[in-house]
Amino acid sequence: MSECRQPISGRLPPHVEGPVGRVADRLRTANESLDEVTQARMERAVLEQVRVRAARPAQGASGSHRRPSYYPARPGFPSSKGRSRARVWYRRLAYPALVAAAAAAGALLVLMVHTPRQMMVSTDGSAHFEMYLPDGAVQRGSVSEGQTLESGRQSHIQIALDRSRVELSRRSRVRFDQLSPSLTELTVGIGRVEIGFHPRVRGKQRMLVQTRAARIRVVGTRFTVDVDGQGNTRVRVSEGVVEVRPRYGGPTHFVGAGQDLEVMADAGDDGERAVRDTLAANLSKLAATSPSDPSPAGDGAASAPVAPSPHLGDAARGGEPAQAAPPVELPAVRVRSVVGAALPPPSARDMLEVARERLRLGRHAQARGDLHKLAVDAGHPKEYRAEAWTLIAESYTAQGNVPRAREAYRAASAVAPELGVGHNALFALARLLDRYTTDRQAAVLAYEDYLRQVPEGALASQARHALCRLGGYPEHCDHLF
Amino acid sequence: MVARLTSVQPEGEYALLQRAGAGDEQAVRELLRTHAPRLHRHASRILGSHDPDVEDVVQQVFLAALDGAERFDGRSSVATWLFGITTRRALDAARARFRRQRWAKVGEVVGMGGASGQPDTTFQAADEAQVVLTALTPDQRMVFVMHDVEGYTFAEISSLTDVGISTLHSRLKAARKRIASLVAEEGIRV
Repeated sequence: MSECRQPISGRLPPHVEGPVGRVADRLRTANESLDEVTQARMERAVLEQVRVRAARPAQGASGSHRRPSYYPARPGFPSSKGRSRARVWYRRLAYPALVAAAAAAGALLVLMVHTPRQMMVSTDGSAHFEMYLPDGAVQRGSVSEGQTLESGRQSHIQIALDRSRVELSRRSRVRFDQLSPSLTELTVGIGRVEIGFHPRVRGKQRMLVQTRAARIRVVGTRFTVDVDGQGNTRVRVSEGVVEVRPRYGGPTHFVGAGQDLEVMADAGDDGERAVRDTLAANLSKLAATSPSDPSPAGDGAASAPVAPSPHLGDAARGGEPAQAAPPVELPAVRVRSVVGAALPPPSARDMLEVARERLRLGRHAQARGDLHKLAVDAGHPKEYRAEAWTLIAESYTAQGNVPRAREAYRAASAVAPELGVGHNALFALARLLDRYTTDRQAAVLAYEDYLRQVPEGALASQARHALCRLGGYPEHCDHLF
Repeated sequence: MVARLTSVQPEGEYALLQRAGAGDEQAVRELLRTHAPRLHRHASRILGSHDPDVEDVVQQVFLAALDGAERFDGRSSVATWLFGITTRRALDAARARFRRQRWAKVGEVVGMGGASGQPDTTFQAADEAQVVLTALTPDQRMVFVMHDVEGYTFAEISSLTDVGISTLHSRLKAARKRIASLVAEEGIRV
């Protein structure tokens, strides 16, 4: 058994015989020291939050600071005042809340009786909606999991979900499959739905939108989903990034701001495919041979060929010369720029977010491809480029490719040598060489590089320890001991 | 009765917390460097050492502590106070996950030594003892770690978690029974 480490409580636990005792010993003696890079990353994240809070107008100074909910009241801690204040606050609001709830229930009942076609609502109150009628009236209610909302011919509906908004245009139908704090899941049956999803904590709350043709995963963004009668789906993103997975196979697409994507619910028969491909080819030729015509993609937009209308089933049945077209694989999914839109391209932050999501899902190669594009583009800010190189290096390290990880860490430190992210990359490089290669000299040089750049950095102490451990550097050991 | 976990308040720790709560970045750094390793270790035992949420939990603990610094009255040590917040936050996260039945999946992944979570944590070798921990419910795991691994008394655990001592007793008993049966029946070597 290895040397027993001091427990957190400062004293030894009771001795337990048998396998239970052995498990406890193993856990106590396991080397679970906090990774230096992780510690530095946490430090950076906390400090960022501190700076953000400092930049906000001080609300605590006026005495209105409220105790966060994650402090349960415990004897010995100064929580009783806060709780009693809260109780009074609740008591004062109880009566108005009851009245409001009764009014809402009454309104709901009226809605269900008078407009059975336009919506079905529950009294659960999981999500609140407002329906705007053509005569200017507004009807309010709530909808819960498993229920469906449908707007009428002339009305549209707004639904509030925590900090997010869902807006149904007229003649649209949405079912709410799940409305939990961590996941909102909707199924769009038909019509247009505009969604603004802005979670409180990025990555902790998710939204999933389903249609007959696609599943759309959202991290935090604003976008529109259009579904026609056949289930063909168009996703248009105006902010952030969404992940769209066609239900009938094909690769997953990440659609960024300023792009839209069409997913066919039905791939169609050979004739339909042929007509679609011929039309697409003709349109491309037309665009190529008439340069004087204004490009439909607009200024600065990507020059992807413009796809024909998604609703081509009827055209195909009209009797176009199907045999003339070459047998091409059906492009069931098309990504193109929004015609005439002046929307910005995906930001570096969004690209990093997508890459992190892909890494979490284990799609290393895809993630590295995206990150590489970001990392080599000198138009992006240095900190994002260095972060991209660092993520590439971490991905390679996770897959055991140390030489590539080494190159990527070097690139990260070279891109932003004066920033924290560059310093961390340099330290991570040294640690990589130290732990996963036999090139001791290279590790020493990397640690020394780090200390030269940031002699008082967050990881300087660890670097000195490492140099001391690697031997032959008495000046570091003298400094330490 | 409320047990005091530590009776000695290190000189300056209270002042350091107050400075950090007021937004002094140097104080925040010092607070983090002093306490982060052990809080991280504690959260990783409750959530699983390969869990990417551990980092989040520890960050949230520090942010919560900075928010509540002005209300900290110094009756316990800062370390104990932070430890209590960590326990509750980690337990909340573990319970939420347990409800979604994700622990089984994490257990399998850790057991196989496959990649999970953040890339830079994936080379840590999977430990059999960690696999055993994943088989316990979050509440059982918490009381086992705090009592049998870290050496806290039931009274102390009760004061940190607001759970009654008899409940803690029964959870620890269930946890030990589960561990013993896992080791005996499924041949896990510890």
